[in-house]
Amino acid sequence: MSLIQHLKENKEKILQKWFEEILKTYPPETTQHLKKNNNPFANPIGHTLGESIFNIFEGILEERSPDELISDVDQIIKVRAVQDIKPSEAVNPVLLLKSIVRTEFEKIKNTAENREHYAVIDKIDHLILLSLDLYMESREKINEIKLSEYNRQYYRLIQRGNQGQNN
Amino acid sequence: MSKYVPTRKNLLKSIEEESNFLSGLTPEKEWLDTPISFRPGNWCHGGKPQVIESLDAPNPRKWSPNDKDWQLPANWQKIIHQGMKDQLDKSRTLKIFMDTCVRCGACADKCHFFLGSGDPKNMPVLRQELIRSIYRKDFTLGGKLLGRLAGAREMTEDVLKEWFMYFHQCTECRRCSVFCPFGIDTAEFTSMARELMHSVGVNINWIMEPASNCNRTGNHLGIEPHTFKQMVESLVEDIEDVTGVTVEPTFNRKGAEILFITPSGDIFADPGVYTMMGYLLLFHHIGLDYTISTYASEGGNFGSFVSHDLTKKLNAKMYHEAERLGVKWILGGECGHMWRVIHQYMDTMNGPADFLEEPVSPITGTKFENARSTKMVHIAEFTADLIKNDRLKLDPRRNNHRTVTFHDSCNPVRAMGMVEEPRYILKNVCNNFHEMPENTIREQTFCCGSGSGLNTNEYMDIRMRGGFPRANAVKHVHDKHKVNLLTAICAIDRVTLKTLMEYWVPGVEVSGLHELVGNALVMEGESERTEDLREDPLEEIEEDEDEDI
Repeated sequence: MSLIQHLKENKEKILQKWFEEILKTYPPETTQHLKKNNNPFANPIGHTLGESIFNIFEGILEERSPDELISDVDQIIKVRAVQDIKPSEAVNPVLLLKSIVRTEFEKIKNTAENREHYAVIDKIDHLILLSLDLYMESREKINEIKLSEYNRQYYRLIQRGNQGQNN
Repeated sequence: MSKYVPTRKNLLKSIEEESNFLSGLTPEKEWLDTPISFRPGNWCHGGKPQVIESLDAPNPRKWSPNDKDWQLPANWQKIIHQGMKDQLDKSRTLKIFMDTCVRCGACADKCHFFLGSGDPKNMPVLRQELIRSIYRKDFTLGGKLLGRLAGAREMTEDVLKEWFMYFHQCTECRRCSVFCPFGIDTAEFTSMARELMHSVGVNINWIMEPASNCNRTGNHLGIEPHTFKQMVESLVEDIEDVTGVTVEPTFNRKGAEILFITPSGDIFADPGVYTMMGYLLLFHHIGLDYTISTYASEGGNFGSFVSHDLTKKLNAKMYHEAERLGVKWILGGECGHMWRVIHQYMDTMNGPADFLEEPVSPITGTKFENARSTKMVHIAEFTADLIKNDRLKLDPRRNNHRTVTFHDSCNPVRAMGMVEEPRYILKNVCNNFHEMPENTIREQTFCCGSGSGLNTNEYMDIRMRGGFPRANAVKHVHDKHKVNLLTAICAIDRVTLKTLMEYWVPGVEVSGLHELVGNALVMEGESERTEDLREDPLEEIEEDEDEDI
């Protein structure tokens, strides 16, 4: 059986597993709410994550190009970007699918000999995530210095504009 | 966020050892023991010393919430304890709220900050526990004897820091209170906590500086009278450019029938200024005898975000000005917390305003009996009454380029029941109107996420998170009905929803209600309108037999 065929047959189960893995880092009090409430407006995070991963997984099964899945990835990232987590954690939901798919793959094909290979690949994934954090750090620094340069340039003007305040 | 991104060594350590996706570990401690951590984006700057001094408020000093030492007064715990005792003695409701919660959880998933962050301390019940745990320790026998077993704990600096974080992650919107079977008002807890923190000098500059400016100059940016007047006059010129009509507002005119007070954001902020232009057109259209004050030049009451006394003082200013000018009554613009203060506090704080008359619309003769005591009428009610009595010439087709949805602002809807009037107006001034889903509007409305003095840009992460439930509902009508305009009757909304839309739902603009009224008003002697008040082109209107506008 091909992997895609196997994934299609186990779609519901895999999505459920994926969703639960994503919810795991939220505190337990929150996980209950994110899991159980089906109203999209009463549970915007759970709904957005659930809907996006469904669309992404379906896109993968239909062998669509990643470019076509961008709006769903964007939904996940937008939510994660304003939560108290690192960039690497924000993007991790996508990588979580990889380990789930690998487990499924091992069910249809014995790949024990590939374990060593996996260990190396995992390290590389880890480095990719680290790179993302560092990349963000650099981009944020650029924004910060842009803003402080702007403030310095207009310092007197702002000060003048503020006259009449604080005294 | 850049400062928050850790050093490489710490990053590696945290990824491998802390609870996160990669380590697969989840938080082990209970919420009560989970410490807070301040990172850029999740706290607001502390009150500046000169601002605190100008208000004669306690403990002025240069400090920042992410400092280890907050430079509290030596006896700060005693001050907090005494403050809590005073508040409990003064407010019976607060005492009842302290004791009645049965932790049923009805409020837990109703807070926009919880829904947007997933942080359990944003569940209203847990946010209240942050204070209740201290109340139990200090004021209940069970808490004194059993301590932690009875859910009690000591007041420590860590608890104070936790208060600072989470009582500034509550916008006092009161959505949770709608669902509480006991009607416990979480906003009262937040008010109490903020007042207690204020008593030891723990407050945020974005609240204190506007409050200080309102106190000294009359409006939150500290705009002086001549500048304030110039700003309104520049709007008069813009109105003339678009409509060919010259409106003639007056300032500080004694003997005018009505004093008009609106948030100062309507005078200088984008897109609030277009709402101001709408008011000016409306008043000209009906020939209202009104004046604008350059002293009571702010409707918003920034005092209400920090203390009872400051709320009272800033509110009194409006009434003193009405008395000085000798007007009959006050007409209030599209504001949020101004109306909560007027509708729920003014009467017992500064009222009744016996020196004014019971408001009567000079155009329709309608008596606003609901404002008998405060003598202040909401503009939405005033305009709805004009439309109902057929006193306005309106052409709603001039808003055909807008597909509109309405955001119920927390304070007008939940603190004064201003639900149907804005909708009635909207349906008369535009042709394309769609409601957001039922559990996100009217009394169940979601906050903008930036109210109660949190609309400062260093707080952007928290604001975008808290605004997500609202944005999620706007996205729904944007996708389904192609909504491109979000209308609201609150000045903080007009500023912050625009930012929220830029992040979550690009393509949706934000406006006030009276901007759309201004667009639709057919003015006497006007030139042909080709642009709306923003100077955006109108959709071409096909003239047909339907000329009876």
